[in-house]
Amino acid sequence: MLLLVVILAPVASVFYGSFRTGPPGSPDAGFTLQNWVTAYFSPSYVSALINTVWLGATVAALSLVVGGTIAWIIARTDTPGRMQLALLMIVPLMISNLITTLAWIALAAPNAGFINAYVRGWTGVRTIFNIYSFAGIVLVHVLHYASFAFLALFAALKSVDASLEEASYMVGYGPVQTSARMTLPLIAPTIATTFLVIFVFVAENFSVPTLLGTPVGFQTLPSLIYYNMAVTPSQPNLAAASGTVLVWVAIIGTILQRRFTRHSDRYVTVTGKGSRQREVRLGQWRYATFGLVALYLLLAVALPYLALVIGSLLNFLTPNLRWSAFTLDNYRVLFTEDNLTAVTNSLLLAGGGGLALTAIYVLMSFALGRVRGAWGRVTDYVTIIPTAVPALILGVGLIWTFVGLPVPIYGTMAILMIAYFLRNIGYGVRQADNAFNQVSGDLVEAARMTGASRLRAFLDVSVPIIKPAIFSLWTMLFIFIFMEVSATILLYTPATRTMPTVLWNYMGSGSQPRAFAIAVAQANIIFIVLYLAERWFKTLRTSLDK
Amino acid sequence: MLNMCKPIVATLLGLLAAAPAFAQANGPADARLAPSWAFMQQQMPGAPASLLEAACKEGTVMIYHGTWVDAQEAQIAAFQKRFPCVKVEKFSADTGQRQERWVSETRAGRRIADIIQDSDPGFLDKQASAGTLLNYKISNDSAFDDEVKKEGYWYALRAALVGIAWNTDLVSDDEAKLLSTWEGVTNPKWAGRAAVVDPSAGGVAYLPWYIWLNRFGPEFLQKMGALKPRIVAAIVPASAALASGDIAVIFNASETGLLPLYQKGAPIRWSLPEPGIGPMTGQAIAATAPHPNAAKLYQEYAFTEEGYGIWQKLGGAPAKRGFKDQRPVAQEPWYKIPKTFAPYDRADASEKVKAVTEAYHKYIGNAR
Amino acid sequence: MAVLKVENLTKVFGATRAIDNISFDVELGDIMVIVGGSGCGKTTTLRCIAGLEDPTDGVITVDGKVVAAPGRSVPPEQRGIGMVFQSYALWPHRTVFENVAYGLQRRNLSADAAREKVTGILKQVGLSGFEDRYPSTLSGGQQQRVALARSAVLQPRLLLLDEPLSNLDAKLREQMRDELREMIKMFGMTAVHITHDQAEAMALADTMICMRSGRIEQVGSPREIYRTPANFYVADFIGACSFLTGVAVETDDESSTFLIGDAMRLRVRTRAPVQPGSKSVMAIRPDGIQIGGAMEANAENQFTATTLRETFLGSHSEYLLDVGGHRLKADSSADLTVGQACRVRIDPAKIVLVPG
Repeated sequence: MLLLVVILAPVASVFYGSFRTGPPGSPDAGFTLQNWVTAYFSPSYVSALINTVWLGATVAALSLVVGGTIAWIIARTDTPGRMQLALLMIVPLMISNLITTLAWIALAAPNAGFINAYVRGWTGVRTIFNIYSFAGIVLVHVLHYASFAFLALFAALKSVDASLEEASYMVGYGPVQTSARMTLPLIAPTIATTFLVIFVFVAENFSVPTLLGTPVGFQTLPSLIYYNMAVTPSQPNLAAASGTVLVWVAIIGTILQRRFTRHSDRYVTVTGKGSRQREVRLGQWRYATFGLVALYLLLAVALPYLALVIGSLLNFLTPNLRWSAFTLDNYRVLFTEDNLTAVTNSLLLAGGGGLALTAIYVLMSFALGRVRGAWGRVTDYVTIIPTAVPALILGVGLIWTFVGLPVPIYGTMAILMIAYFLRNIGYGVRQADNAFNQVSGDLVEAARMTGASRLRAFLDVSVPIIKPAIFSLWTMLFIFIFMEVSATILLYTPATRTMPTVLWNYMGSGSQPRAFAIAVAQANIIFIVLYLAERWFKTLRTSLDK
Repeated sequence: MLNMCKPIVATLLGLLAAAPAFAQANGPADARLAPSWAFMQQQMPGAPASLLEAACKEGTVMIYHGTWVDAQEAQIAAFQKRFPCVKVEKFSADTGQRQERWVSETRAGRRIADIIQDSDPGFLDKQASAGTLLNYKISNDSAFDDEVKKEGYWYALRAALVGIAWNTDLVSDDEAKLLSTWEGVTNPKWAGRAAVVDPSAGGVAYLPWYIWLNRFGPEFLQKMGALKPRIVAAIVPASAALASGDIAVIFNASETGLLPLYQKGAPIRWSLPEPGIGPMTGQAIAATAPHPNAAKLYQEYAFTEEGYGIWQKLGGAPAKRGFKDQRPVAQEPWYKIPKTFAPYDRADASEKVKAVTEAYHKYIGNAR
Repeated sequence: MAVLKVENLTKVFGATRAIDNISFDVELGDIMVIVGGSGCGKTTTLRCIAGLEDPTDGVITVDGKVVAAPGRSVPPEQRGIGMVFQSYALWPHRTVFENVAYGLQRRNLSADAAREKVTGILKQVGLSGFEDRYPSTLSGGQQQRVALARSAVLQPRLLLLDEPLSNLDAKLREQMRDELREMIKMFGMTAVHITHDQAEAMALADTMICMRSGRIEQVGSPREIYRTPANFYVADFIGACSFLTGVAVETDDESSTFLIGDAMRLRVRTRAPVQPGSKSVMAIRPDGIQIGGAMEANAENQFTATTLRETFLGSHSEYLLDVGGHRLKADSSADLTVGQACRVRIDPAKIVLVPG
């Protein structure tokens, strides 16, 4: 119940605020419907909504195709070097969308992008790819989320009972048909959930469409919301009203997803019987599949990182690389006391906080899974709402909720943790649900029949079996929290500053190379932590290897 | 009458400062504060020793500042050197977020911020009349004209000058001559080569649109729209695109975006045509400041010769009367600060946001 | 003494009554087998006893203690009941030893005592030396034995078995069926076993319950149920059976004669009087039909038959016969060929009248 209050209070204050003429507590504020009328009916908002849905769906679909193909290649074929490739697949998630966007602007700005400038030198073609376009927005998102889709689908593919596929081979279907007719339907619930989560993440994001869409007049709801907050005088109430639009979109998405996964007990795949999976022998084709994965990694990892590293060593971003343009200054600022505090905070919040959130989501999923009927459905919707509310608005909602409360939450790490808890709840609980869905119920019942209580059985049987999924959940939360800026920027204090807030502020003050340096440092820190976690706890190997 | 007295008082105070024995008698009891007190007597002669003592007792001050990180950090470091007994804490965010937080906290009675800054003077004016700012007249008040302060409430840290900027690799000096007046931007030469910053980005990005529309009328925007400029979401990415050579000209560039790049050696230049456009960035003390004395001390320091110079060197054009521009760019022969500034009503500019944005969309945003 | 008492048990899921007011007892040391087709309610009954489902109505008593009654439910872990699952539900992340030892961890046993118990029980089920193996490396039969050992090691008052043999191949299933009975008896446990396989039910059970659509059709020993099925459904479901419909033409206290079709007269030993002229269904087990021998004069229930089909099973064959236009199943080792005519005799004592 307390949890429900924590989840709903900030969302409720967003809804409340959306009907007001001023922020809560303003003496001269009254009730109004104007914000809703504007957000729901004015042409620019309606077209922004259509853009948002169209963008979210395109990105989610393409990410699933790309990530799913790679997951199949790595999980099921004899493609050379696939385990190494699998480990690299997580890297695109370590740079935030915003930084990826800036890196791609450096790479593919129509006139001065590295790639365009280089290709122009060779071929004379003025611009082979213009990042300022719908395609550019999709590209940046897909490169990011394909890797997210990969992780989800890889785990699902690994858990499909091999005998089901063997049965398909035995009735005469080849690997491709088997994948299409047997494997795909079996992992359909994961596909549906992943689609929804990516869709919501994309629909909620403002930085990519703001930076890349403005030149072509492509606006999404979050980019409009960002304007409402940035324009002076800022209009938080209108922004709140437009934030509620996305809540309905997410609820409709959840209805569709639920319809899809209604019979999730059909898809129990980890049972008390074990069997080994079949590897598809590709022959010469395995070099082609290797090439495909490598191409993705080139676009999603090698190129943006190269741009970031080069950019971080420059005085300012330019394709004209001269020796005089290079400097190490951008890295020097990392070592000020303030910035080291930020690093420590980020590590603490992402590592420890990530662990706490993992435990909470898993317990929530366990507790909610027991709730049958209407309540169970309600919780499914309740958990997606805070994720769908754009982070900027969620941050405002949190301020409105906690600034006046006489509890020591506002201005502490606790409010950041609440923000991260809310931001990731839709993903976290669903991820844990998916994991539990794969554990056959009688494994747990068997434990209860030998005298274990419900909780004991959960801890002794379910948790160890879904350990890989829990590790991958922690990994993702670590990355997400380490990256979070949109809500943090509204809520942090000098004592709770994080790396992304430092990065954001450098960027705002016009120093992109310095922001790049922090992004590089951030990616490296994330990589090192994940590497150590892998060394000590086999986090990645267990989640990739099973 | 009072105004006439002012110089006399100042002179008297100056005399007092110059007399060490006398100063000692009125100085702080704690000998460790002597260096700080000596500095105060020199540069903020109106501030009494009791302010220093009270500020030191409070021990800390919290500044909500904008994303001019370098200037602010340099000034804070210098302040700490002068006043080691006051620890400076800072929170920095974009305008909208900073305002949202400050307003919410104030309404809820959360006393966190001591000093607030804002690049929208209209916002500070509104706060002053709403009673959320502390009335404190700084010692250097007289060095600030009425356009760059609201007496006793906020004082300008800088004028965020708006200019026409170009990439020197892509625009020849001859071509650049066209850009010395605002009207020059409508020249067909710039078709397909230029960019504008969306007025929705707020603050500095917005004001030129307001002034252009008022001064030159919608035809000006129409002509500009015919050149099909690229639209960039905010000042920082626009300046970065200019420096990298992705765009050749920005019609409404801001020095806040240009300076950091110029100082790093980017091939850019800009003109500041007459009449100048440069909204003030102001600083004020919160009425609910939890450390009012430390806040007053910082407010005093920020507008002293030393404090102002340190900030201004990195932060932007000085708004203090007669203050010598410390920025290296000011030494450049091509750099000229406008003689006159376009007068405008700060309240009216805030009110017209919607109308200006609509005109912009009509002639430029949708003209693609 | 009844270890398990089930009284008026009812379970409703939405609009369907999965169990409809059933009652039965299981005596100490007995193996009770509930048999029925899918959807008959046997699994739900078992899960209600286990505590994995809460009954809608009715009382379940285990060992004298009420474990489920309206508004009251003892959680499964406190019922002292063991259960073997259809899938065995062996925990894939634990070794054989750890699987079996798991339940003992909460029994305040010293590590040595627990080890001794686990080793002992694994020896009894013939899995010595498999302690450190993981379940996925075991054969189906071995997994099944681990599952049994895991329950048996706790010496439960009552053991529930949820179709544990259904995942095994035919030969192994027969073998495990016998072993299972032996092991349950060896451990001295009282058991409730559910299955859809009537042969398995008869082989395992001390007492059988035949269920259909949430109701009990018949309770009794395998012999009783085979020989005197209570109704058409039971007769048809348990064992092979042929059915004839006839009208009673002559009746006395001990037997009746039925006219089947136009010409076939069949005398039936009856326990209750039959109304002359009434119509009845007669169930005839294959072993009630004798094939071979010469035709005798005036012998009753003697017919000429033609073989329609033969299924050779080694020790004997199953035949489908045409007797006066009616089809009957019979067993014999007479080695008839298809289409061959022969004499058959039907034992009047082995014909049962079943209510439709």
